[in-house]
Amino acid sequence: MGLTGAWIVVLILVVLIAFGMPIGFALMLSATIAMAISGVDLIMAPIQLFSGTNKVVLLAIPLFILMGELMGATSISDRIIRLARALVGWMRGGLAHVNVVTSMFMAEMSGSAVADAAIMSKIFVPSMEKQGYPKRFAAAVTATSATLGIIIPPSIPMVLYGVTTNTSIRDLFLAGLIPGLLLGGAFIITNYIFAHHENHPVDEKFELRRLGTALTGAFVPLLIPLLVVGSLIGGFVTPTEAATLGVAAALIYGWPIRRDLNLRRIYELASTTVRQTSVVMMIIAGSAVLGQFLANEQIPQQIASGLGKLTDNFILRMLMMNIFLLLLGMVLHASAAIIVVVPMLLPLSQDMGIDPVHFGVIVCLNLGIGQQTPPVASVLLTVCSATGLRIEQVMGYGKWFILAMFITLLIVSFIPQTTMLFA
Amino acid sequence: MLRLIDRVAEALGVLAFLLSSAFIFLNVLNRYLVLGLMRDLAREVEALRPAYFAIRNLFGDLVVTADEVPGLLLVWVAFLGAYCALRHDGHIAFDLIVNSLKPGLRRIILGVNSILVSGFLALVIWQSVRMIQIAGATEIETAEIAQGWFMLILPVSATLMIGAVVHRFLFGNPDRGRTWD
Repeated sequence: MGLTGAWIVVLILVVLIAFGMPIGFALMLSATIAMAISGVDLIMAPIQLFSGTNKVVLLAIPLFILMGELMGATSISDRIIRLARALVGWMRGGLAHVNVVTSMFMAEMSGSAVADAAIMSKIFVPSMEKQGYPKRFAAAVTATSATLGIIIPPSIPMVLYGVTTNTSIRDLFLAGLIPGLLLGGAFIITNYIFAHHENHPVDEKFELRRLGTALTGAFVPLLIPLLVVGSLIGGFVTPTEAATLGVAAALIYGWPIRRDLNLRRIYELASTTVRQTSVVMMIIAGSAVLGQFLANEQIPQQIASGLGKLTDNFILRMLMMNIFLLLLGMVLHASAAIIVVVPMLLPLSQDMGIDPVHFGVIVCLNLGIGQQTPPVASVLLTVCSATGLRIEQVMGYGKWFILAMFITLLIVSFIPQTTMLFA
Repeated sequence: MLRLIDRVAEALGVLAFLLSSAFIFLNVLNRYLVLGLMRDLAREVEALRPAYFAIRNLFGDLVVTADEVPGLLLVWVAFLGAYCALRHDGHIAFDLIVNSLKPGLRRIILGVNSILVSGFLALVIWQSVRMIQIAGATEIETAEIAQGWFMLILPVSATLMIGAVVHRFLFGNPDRGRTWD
């Protein structure tokens, strides 16, 4: 099959996606058409579907999803919020800062921004509104700070990136630490500017005793992310095993110890996890079929060399790649974008001398911004659906937080040390 | 009938997920608790050795498959979950363009989509049955289980998904009361 045929297959894929076919099925179908045109035995389709999903490392995805679900279903989230209130609630615009700091803590237990947004919007938007914050502002802070869930480890998009590009997931998790802190800092600064401009209230006065009580209450829940990230970074366990330890710890804490859960609730959470996992897994399965075909036709290399010919300037290339990823994040779900497009961009980034770990964090940051911007805006839509607000209402404030994210992205893109210090 | 199938598929998916997670967890326990802490204790205290050997053998038999079976069970999780997600409109799709079309044209496009997906799934049934006939009897590396048992989920889930796609197009989304988008 020639180059023209390969582009026809890509075109078929784009048309199928544009006409609303679920992305996973569109990938599988277009790849099967390619196989049929190339004269490949179609038995390769189920073989690729089977081998593409049969990977133990991918089990980390449902486990991190379940960890997030368990966190929301138990008193872990309440205890974390109490700690965040004691830590930063005394500042002007206290509850907005608490929202960001809670997201930073929660991000260490959940790998999904959408899951974080779903939990946080139910908790924070009503309480911030009660304290006199504009509801639109509360929703904007909640939506944007949920992005921390995919930057601070563990992170499901980083697992996907690691699997797709054969990059160490442990290194990616380590690389996400400083950008996560930078992003949290950028949100707090944005909050602070709004707090002074709109005279937002202080949540509660600082008290050392309250901080002590909150720390004691959150001690065990905070051990869970420490166990997960610590054991992984220490090289004692694989990402899948780390996720299993996290789930086991959260289950033990929420079921026999705190009695927040019962068997029925655990079954419901596991069922939700299975459904959410399969959505990502279908895209992985589809891309396993299509990826083989694209690799055979050397499409990623051709795209990379095409983009590379546009300019030799590193700064322009980096900006071009970021803009492309931002646009991609606006129209494609993060998992789909990573699995389908990242293999095509990786040769270009390597040609530019960017480390795959550094590139992985850049990709996640870009797609994190994409989760906040329509039309796809999965995180923003989750918050809108929970709060009953329209996208444009939230975007009034949201655009300033997105600007903060963009500035963080530029810092991380052009200063590799922000990601490579620990990795 | 469909609701019963939904429940069975959901329960099987959850069971496969819990089993695969349990294998991974037992593997970690075996590595650090049995082969680490318990072995050190058994070295020091002779009375503990029979218990250590019994537990080591028990865990050893279980975790020898931990590098392979969880991945194979994940295929079950993925494809059973895919059926459940299809029934609940859960798959990721870019629906901005289709939603902006007139209802008549929209229905035509959704119909074409349904036919294409069903056709693809029918092909998966046919080819995965071939795959099982050719490679299904081969045992997996770490246990005496034919890999066909794990491959079986492909034709089964593809059949279920065809049913879900047709049902969705004819009767709309059970959750939202509108056609698949």
